[in-house]
Amino acid sequence: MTKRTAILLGATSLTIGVFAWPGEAQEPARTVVGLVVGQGPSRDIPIAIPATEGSGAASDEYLRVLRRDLEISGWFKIIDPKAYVEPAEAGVKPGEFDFADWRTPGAAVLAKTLLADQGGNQRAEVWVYDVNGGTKLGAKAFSAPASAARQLAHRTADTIIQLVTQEKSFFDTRIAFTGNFSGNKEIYVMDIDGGGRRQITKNKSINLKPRWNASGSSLCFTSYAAGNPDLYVADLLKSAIRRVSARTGINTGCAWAPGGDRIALTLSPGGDSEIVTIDPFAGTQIARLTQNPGIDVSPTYSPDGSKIAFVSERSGGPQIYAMNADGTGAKRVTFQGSHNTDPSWSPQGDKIAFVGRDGGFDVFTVNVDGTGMSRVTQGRGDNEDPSWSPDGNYLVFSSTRTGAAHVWLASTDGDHQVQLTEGGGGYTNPHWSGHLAW
Amino acid sequence: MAGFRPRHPLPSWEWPAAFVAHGFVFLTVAVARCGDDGALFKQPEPIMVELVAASQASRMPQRAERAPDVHRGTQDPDAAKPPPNPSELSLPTEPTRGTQSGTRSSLLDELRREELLKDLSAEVGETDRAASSGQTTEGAGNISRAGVRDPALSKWVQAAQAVVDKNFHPLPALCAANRSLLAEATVSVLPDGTIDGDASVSKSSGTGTFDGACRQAFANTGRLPPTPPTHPDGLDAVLTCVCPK
Repeated sequence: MTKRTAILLGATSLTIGVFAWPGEAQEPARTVVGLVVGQGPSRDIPIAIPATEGSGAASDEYLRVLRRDLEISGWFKIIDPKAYVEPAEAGVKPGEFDFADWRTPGAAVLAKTLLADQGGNQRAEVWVYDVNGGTKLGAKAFSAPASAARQLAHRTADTIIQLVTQEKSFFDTRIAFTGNFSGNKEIYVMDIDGGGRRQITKNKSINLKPRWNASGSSLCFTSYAAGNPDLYVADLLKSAIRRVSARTGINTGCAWAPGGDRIALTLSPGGDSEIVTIDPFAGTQIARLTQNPGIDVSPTYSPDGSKIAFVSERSGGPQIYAMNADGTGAKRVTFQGSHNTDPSWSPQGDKIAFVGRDGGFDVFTVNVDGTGMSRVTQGRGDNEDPSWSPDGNYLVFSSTRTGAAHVWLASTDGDHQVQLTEGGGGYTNPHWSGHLAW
Repeated sequence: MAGFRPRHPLPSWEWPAAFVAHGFVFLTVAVARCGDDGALFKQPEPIMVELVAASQASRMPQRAERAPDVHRGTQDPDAAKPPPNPSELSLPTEPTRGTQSGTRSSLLDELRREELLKDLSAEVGETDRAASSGQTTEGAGNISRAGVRDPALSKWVQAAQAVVDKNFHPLPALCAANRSLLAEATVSVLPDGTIDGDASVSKSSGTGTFDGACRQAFANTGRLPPTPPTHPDGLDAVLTCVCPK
């Protein structure tokens, strides 16, 4: 090898070595994946409701009712108080506590409450916060007689729901029902949470199917107190009950016209049940709306009072029909199933809830034109007598799914169902009032 | 014996009378026949007999194939609907929600949101979000084409999405006001599913409350499923938050 050759070989080796030297290893690209959330319904919002500031049994009752109301609404999931980490000295107003203390247990909403005596009355305050945003959503105060702690809690629940959802809630309403607690079927009224029960009839007879008027001041119902199924009206503000129809045969299945100037009910003048309207005060018949062989029963008014849905057997088995309020233009609404009863017209006027027999009895809804039937309950006991919430988003009905008959609440899609009443059962014929001022 | 004698010899006027009477009858029949273009007593049409292949005995159609029942009584023919049998009264697969107001703006909002959801929830794989639209996030060029190419990753994405979705709670009032809200938060996921550190908002909805709910969804989740074996070093996850239905 010549000297020149050796130099060339050395230079070549150096060049190869330089270019072949492993540099710093290139880091592989980290994988990024995309997730999407927000496709489910808005339910079970985690809410923290720390103990009510105040003392005594009234505070405990107030807090218990408030938490129960929020659970019934289906909007919220109450975070277990054991998970709360906020120090005891924290206050209820902005700046008096740290939002981070409420992010730790996973709260999305925080509701802080105060209850205090005020000259013989109870005064409740509620402060509602958006924990994620660290902002106040609103605050409100209520005052009521000391005996009305339950009503204060209901108003508080309505306020929280209104602030979080922008939807009007329903805890200022009540449910009338037939209760069989002592061997007799009497009419009762209760709060939406099943508490605050008041007995309306005490005649130790059979009293059935109470129906609220639009203002919530009166109930019509059928009673066998005089031996015949007659129609009565209870004036809840005057605590007076009077009989308004005692015609031969049945006087049942009443429904108030929205204006309160007439009641539709079923009579059986010639043995065949027909729907008529009567004056709720004088009891005189205003008009006969149906004239068909076979039963025509269970009238329910549309919210504008222009139409009436009812049950008729004119096509064979019992089916839901709708007609004009003067009895003309009857059209069949339900075509699915062979036994559909108990219609209830929604407050928005677009749907009718009813009971269909499909093995057992279940609650369904259908558009007024007969389309869009959907099921609310399925395969769990007998579910009967559906009645709408004022906002049309919920139904109450009686159900035997736990054995005895209780009042249940369900969202109209059937996803959220909760038992409202407790004890040994005997709750039937529930009917939901409108918003009440009393 | 008396000779044969006619018992009642016809009077001379009876012969013309009988002749006229018979003539009248024949004339009447003739006129009647002229008015009829066919025979008085038509032969019945011959019964057309066509030989057809005798069909095999078949069972009665199933309930679903039956024609609608004919209902007794009066009813509006427009209202006639096929009567499915009771077993068809089943729970809807899609929960029915209250209808939104029919205003144009709300409908447009809803359309936009549906479009976003359709795109965002597209099958992870060849047609995943980054591929199916121009909408990307920072670093979207690295978003994995899972699914067809990586079934394990696709499965992980679905499982992680389900877990985080349960912890996403924007205020309904916020979404009622603007259903088109959209935010993105990013985190690093360790191989065992632990979320490494706090989530950072990589794309704001313009509303702190909504962004906070998006970020908090990861915080409340705590831990995701362990990353698939194909990604032993963990992953980065971009969470896109939209208003629930």
